[in-house]
Amino acid sequence: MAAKPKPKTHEINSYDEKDAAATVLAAGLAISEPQARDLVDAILRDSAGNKDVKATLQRSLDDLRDLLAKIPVPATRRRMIRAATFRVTVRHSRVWRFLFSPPGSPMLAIARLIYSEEKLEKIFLPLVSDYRLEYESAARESRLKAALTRLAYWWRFLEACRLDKVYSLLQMLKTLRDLFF
Amino acid sequence: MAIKRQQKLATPPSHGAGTLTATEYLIMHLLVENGGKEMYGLELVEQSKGKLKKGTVYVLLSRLEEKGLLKARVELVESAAIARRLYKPTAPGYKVFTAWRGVAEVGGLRGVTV
Repeated sequence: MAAKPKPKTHEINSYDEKDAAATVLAAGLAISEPQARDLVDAILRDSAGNKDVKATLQRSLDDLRDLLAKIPVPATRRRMIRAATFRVTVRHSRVWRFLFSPPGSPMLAIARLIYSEEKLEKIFLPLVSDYRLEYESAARESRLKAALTRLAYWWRFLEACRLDKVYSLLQMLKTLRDLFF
Repeated sequence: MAIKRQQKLATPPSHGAGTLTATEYLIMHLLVENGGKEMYGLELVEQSKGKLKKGTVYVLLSRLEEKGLLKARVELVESAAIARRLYKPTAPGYKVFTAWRGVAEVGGLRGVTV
């Protein structure tokens, strides 16, 4: 007797605009997609609820319906909506904002937490100044180059922190040596 | 004779503020060779042809400044909306550099080929 093939979990039969809205809501509210789908249904069903919320949802559903009409395969629809939701979520998250905008400010914020004002002025402000100038010219050329500049300067920031810590340690050892020997 | 001379020169001219590491010597060399004109960190990195790193140059400059071998001036860069530091050697800086030049010339400073 031949074994019955297992159904593939990622295969779905339908993915409509309500499912798409549920995907977006699930990401935003940090709930599961089935829960979000129930929420969508509840908002649409509940005539006594907030009318503005219902109208906004209805408009979003209309937009999503038009968008999904261009993608015939349900699995592809879901994958694309999930990818788009992920991009939007990450881009609007605090971590993303902290790391990537505006150039140099997060570095200065971190340096302010760790170092004295003097070190900030002597080491990190000039580094960020160079970073901003270099980033400006890189951004004019291409987004990729700008992103690479960001990464390179984060690495340089870490290098500066590391070297400064090494020097501080050596200074401390020297002070101890002078005290005891 | 030559070995004796090298050993003598390879001894640091003084300790503490007068001590230079190879990269610190390189920075001093670039600044002195620039005719005493002010230079900023990025300029030093570019002129060092890859010997200095962008990430560490300001730590080294800060150390040289603390030793009193360099003095810095702040200049406002409008496009970056931030202040940039320009460095030039001080009189003690020139003295220390001259003393160490002999050491570097006979290869007493590891990694220095200026």
